Amino acid sequence: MKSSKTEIYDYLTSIIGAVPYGIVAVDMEGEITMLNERALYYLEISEEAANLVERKLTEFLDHLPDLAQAVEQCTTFGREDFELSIQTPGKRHMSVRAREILNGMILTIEDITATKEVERATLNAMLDGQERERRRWAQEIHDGVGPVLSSIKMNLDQVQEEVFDKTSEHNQENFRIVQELLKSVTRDLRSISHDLMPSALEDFGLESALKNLCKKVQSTEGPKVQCIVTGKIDRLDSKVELALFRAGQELLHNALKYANATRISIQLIRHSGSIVLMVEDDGIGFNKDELNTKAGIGLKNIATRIKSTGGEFVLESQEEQGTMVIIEIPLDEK
Amino acid sequence: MIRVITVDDHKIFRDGIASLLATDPNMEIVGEAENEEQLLKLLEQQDADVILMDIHLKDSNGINITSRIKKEKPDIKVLAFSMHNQVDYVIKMLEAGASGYLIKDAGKEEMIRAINVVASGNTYYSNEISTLILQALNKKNEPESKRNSTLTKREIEILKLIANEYSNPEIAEKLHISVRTVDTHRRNLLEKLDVKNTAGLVKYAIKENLIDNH
Repeated sequence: MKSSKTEIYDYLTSIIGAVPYGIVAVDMEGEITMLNERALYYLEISEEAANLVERKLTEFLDHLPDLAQAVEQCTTFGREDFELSIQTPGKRHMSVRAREILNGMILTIEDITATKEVERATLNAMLDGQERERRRWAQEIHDGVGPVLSSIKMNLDQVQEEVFDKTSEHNQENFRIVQELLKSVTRDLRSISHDLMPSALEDFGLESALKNLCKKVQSTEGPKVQCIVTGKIDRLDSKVELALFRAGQELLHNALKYANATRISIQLIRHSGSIVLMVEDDGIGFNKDELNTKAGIGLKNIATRIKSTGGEFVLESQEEQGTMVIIEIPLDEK
Repeated sequence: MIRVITVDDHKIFRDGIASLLATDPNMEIVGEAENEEQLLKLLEQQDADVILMDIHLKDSNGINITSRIKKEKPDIKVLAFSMHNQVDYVIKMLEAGASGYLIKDAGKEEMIRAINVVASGNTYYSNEISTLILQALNKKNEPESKRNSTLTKREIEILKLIANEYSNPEIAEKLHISVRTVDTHRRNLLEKLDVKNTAGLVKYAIKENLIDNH
């Protein structure tokens, strides 16, 4: 067995040099005692390993503020384990785990970029599938149930015309009931079909589809829904139009269902080089720890979808302070 | 006798109309088509007074077909007959030259009335559709401005702070939002108020009395 201090140090260095993780050990003051090359590579620190030893780790984390903050907290307020998922400036995803060790803390860094990519691809495939399915159902309604209902209505009209005056009052009342029911089921069906795949989106674009959406959800007793459009929106790439429309649809739905708001505004603002969709409400808001609820998952899905079109998704909410979502998607100017 | 052609991509629907109109002594279905090609072929041999036109057909759309028919045979009246009760469709159909617009849940009586009205050279819109058209016209008559100066409560709040010399980070801290969000709001405000820079925002704020006097 090795005995001298240097020999043990070299031995440990060779062990952590061989593992497939980035490893950084710091002492109670947050100064680095030992690290491997892979940690430098993963954390995108362009310094020699030897230069980092005995210096504060946080000095080298200006480009990774979330991690710097977590490390800082551990060393300032006593040691506490943490796990953190971060994105580096080089657009790679790292999972960082901190654990207490003798007189300090060890950080294990794992490259989870591939996993994240798979997650994103899976979600995108799921969303694409969902859109295809919605389109299929809308088509199904347009080609199947819709025309049959119209036909029923026309046949009923005809029978009614022939026998209405000759039949009993009771039957006349039945005619009226059936006509009312038919009318309401036709409306419901039209509304479902419209939610599934709004033909106005494909035919006239985002502005028209969003305005229709606002008009549709505006009711006398519910919150006031305002649709504000700034600038000339024009037709956009159909993927972008659909992503923004679905985002608007879901956000509006969330606001109506959960926010208990008195006002909801949905805005479309054309900038040179980008388009902004902003949905605000003055409702009860929520704190971000509640994001794992059903509404939260919907929000995450929107965020992923927006990010996959190259856009940005920002959510601002506080309890009792309303919720605001800002989505910005860059556009190629022709 | 009013000669009617129905254009719809569903046979069951065309059959329904045929049987409805069969009872009216004044009307005669002289043909039906499920798309543009069939209709054009039909019109080579068969004249008509009114075409009942669906909007969403499988491989063509009623709006384009209508403008084509109105160009080639302007005497034929087109009555749009659609599931859609959205104003954009109505306006497109009007622009294409349709003489009327009927929603598909209309009853027999209204359908016959509408066909009679357009055949006599007038226009027919159901109540629901007339309301839509009026609303759209009212909007058109509002002063045409490229910009939209409708600000939300939050936007006014931010504009006030900008006008009162708060920096983006200061606004962010005050409102508990990120600096990025403030920046987006600022850019949105420039676009919405059609001004070039902060000075323009401040000028607007003064005009609208949003500056604190203390």
